[in-house]
Amino acid sequence: MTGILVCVLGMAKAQSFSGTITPDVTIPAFTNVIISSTTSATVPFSTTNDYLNGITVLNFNSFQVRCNKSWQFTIQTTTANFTGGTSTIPASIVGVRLNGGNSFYPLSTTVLILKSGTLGDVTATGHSFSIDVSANPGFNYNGGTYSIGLQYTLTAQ
Amino acid sequence: MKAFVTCSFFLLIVFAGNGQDKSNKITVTESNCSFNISTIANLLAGQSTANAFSFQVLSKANSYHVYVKGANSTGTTTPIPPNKLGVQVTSRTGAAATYNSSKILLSTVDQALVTNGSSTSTGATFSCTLFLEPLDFSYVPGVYNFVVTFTMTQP
Repeated sequence: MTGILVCVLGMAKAQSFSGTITPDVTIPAFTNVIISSTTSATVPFSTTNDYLNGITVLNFNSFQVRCNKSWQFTIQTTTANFTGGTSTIPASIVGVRLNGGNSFYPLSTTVLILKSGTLGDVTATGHSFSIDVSANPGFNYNGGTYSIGLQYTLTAQ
Repeated sequence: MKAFVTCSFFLLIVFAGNGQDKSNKITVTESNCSFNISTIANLLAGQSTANAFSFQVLSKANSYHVYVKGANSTGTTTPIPPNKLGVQVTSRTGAAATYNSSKILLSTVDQALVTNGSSTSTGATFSCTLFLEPLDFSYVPGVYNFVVTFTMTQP
């Protein structure tokens, strides 16, 4: 007995043929911060209480960070001392904290880390924040107008 | 006396091949399928490249269709999904075929680009624009590699 079994598989199915392309997208590191302020950068000392207690300015500056890597945001002064006036006033009479924080940290030309975070847009948690500053020179300096530069730095990690 | 029965079977299995041949194939040709994002504005606005690629179809059969699909990118820790890429057929030369001239955002399932193409031995060629949709800051720096697959089917 001889039989021939012919199995024809798939002939009834539609045939298909394919080809591909291989697009690529190159994305560099992006860091971007928007700084805004709704308060004056001038802190006037006009009463005895100002000298006794110092002056605190809430939400002195506000920041919105956009970054596609983990990041660190720092502050430092551009000079060790204030300029102007007739006294030498160190940067450290000004303290800074994240808005609502407990302690003020004295400023200097040394980098102070204010905040760090992960990648994301301004809507990401922790990417929008503000700082409070407190100036407390006491009675140690001559009257006058003194100024100092604040340098903010956003660094991708 | 014992009867011996010899059983012989010839087994012939024919598979319908998916391999391309001279008369039935799709050939995809890249011209420029790279996006190099240099500014935040580029990142947020998206980009497009006209005539980024083309594909040519040879088909013995009438009523062929061409589909496209994508996949998540590879190469980084934060894959870009396929729907951030789009393709648009902008023109056809050669044998008649109906094509979707709208921008199609890719997905992992096939979407029709060409329908009811006429049989052709000389080919129908379709030119395409490649789109990169607006991105955001959730993608780490790096090179993101995609594979976009075009499939021609015959009835």
